[in-house]
Amino acid sequence: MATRTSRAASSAPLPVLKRLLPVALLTIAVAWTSTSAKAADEIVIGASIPLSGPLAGFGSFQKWGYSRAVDEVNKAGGITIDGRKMPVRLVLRDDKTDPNVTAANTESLLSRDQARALLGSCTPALVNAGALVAERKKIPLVTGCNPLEAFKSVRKWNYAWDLFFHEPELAAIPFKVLDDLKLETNKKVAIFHDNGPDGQVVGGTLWPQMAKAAGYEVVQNASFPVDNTQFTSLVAEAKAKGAEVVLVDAITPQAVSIRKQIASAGYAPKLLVIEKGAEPVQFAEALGKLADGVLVGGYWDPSFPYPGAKDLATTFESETKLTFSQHIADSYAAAQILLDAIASAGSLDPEKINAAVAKTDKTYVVGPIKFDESHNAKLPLAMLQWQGGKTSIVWPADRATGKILFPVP
Amino acid sequence: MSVLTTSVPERSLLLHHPFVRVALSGISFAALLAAPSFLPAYFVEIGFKLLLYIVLAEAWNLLAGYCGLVSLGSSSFFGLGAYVTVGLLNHTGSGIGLALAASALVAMTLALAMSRGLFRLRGLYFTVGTLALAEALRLLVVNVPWFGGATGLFVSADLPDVTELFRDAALLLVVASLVMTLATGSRFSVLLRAVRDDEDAASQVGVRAFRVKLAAFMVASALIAIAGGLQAIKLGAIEPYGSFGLQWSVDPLAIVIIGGLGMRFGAIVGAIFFVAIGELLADYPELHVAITGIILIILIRCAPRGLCGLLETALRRTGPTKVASS
Repeated sequence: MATRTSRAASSAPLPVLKRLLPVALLTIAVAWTSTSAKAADEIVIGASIPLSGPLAGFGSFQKWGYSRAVDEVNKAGGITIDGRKMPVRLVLRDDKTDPNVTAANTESLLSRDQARALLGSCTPALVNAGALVAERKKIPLVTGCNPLEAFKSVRKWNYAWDLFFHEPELAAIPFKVLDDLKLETNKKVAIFHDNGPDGQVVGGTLWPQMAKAAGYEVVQNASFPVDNTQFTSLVAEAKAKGAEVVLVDAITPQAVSIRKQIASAGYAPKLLVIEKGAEPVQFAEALGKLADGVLVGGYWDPSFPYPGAKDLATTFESETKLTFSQHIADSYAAAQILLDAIASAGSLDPEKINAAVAKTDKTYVVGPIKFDESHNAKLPLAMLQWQGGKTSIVWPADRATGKILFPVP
Repeated sequence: MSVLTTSVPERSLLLHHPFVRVALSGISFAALLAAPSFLPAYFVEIGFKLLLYIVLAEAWNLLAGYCGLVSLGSSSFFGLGAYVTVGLLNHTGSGIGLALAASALVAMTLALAMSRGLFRLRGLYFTVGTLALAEALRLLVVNVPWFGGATGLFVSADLPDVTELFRDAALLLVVASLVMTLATGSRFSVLLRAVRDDEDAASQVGVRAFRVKLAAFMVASALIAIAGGLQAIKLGAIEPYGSFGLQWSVDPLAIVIIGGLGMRFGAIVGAIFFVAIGELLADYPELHVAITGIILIILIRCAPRGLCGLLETALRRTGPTKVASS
């Protein structure tokens, strides 16, 4: 049997809690009012982007692109609103590659940080989640990193604007390359695509249609879940059917696995296109020499004849010591478009900013931007090929910076 | 066996009077319903999230804290609720209430269908079984075209604003609270605890363990599914990786451990703490994950009964209390 007696009330934690409660409430109140006060003196732009999770690679490029555009405006003294120069504050939140978090972050950016306009996340699931919130709250959102058909298919947008590539154009490029560069194959095509939004559109619908129209025979069309890692049977089937053209649409980890499993199966297609996953430099870093010869559609390169293109890549590489990605360009351009619209509206009224975005008609670092009735702005495409750890443009001829490696080494 | 005897202050006795408790509950609920009218938009958003997390944690606490069924399958019922709700809203034009009720019904049916297999498993095996159920459902939704594959589905109906959703979530919380009050303050609570503490011994004395576990499993599944439906309506879009995401299984677990496993107010206290930490550290995502992890480690090591357990101990020490054990 044991007996315990209570401590004296003065030494118990409850009075301490009672003393701390008003302090805690006061702190919350001060934090809340200071946030509101800050919002009145500056232009707050919010963005929820993937800084962790599977798409963190894209998010890091977006963060740089968005921040760069805002820093440039602030260095120039800010934006004039109602006759007064105001600095721009960019609030970034990590959506952890989860659409639920993107939506929650977007709501917090509007309600807590008092953001007057938004920039988008990356990939259809994340961008659409944030855009739906923006649409509900009637706040303009400008985004890249979301293929146009995947964006357009969600709904008729009023406040969300997307500049990126158009899937039918992307799907057509391999056949244009084969035709224009007169590359000889047995005209047998194998298609591997994930069942994500763009994978279904490009791999499931567009590639088969375009292959047929170009006189190619699709001997295999395989769909797999986005997070699949085992492709041995798909590769073996393509090899057995003798496909010399392999078209893949998958995210980077899967793209790396597919390329490795193609090599380990001793399968050597003449042309290997890997859309989406082969775009970031992490693809080439993970594969080394195996990346050589892999083709991927691209919407931007520093060699493109647009103002500031070369400088943007040089600045990125000198600041971060990393190889540039196309995503610095579309995110930088999206932020510039939004900032230009705010300047042109001369107001923080979301309706006026939205109307100014709609009137965008200017050449940015990604090319000429003018939104159509679906709120889309199409970026022109080129075909890139990994050669010695870097990408070279191999098509179209007037933009080429290198010669195509054919067949795949 | 130890017995605790405590001299209870008179004001506590007043609080334990049924009429006072019902009145206090009514006032709390009325305040909750009125809250969106005077709270800033940010707090309404956070309030919705908080209410949803409390419901999820209450459901998980019912299963694990009171019935000993440590589940990692919350995400399966959450995702199921989301898909059923969106499917019904899109294809039948039913109202939100009907769609949510249907999602609860479907979740209960799935729980019933899975129970025979899952309840054959005990302890960690049950936990892994529920995790497998969530993964299987996610893969099913990803691969069956009806569910929109990895693209998911979009709500085509007009969405209610967050104020209305806050009130729906508050109503759901009331239902969850009533269920928990029943589960913790009735004969059923004795059965639940008997099964939790020793299922075989409980069966020996006539407790129908399977039925008790099934009742808890079905009720928890229904609550989780409705929460999933509400979240889907709020998002306006669902896709398998987000709706069946592991976070919907892990977050309630973390909340209950922080608040206090098997404690009546563990879910509420844990959810408030979890959401507050999340918001305070929202601009420092790496810190958020690390700090939540550190808190969990400290609580499991130093305060296995969570924050509620700590508070209870503190309160017991403040009063003119005599604690005896024999």
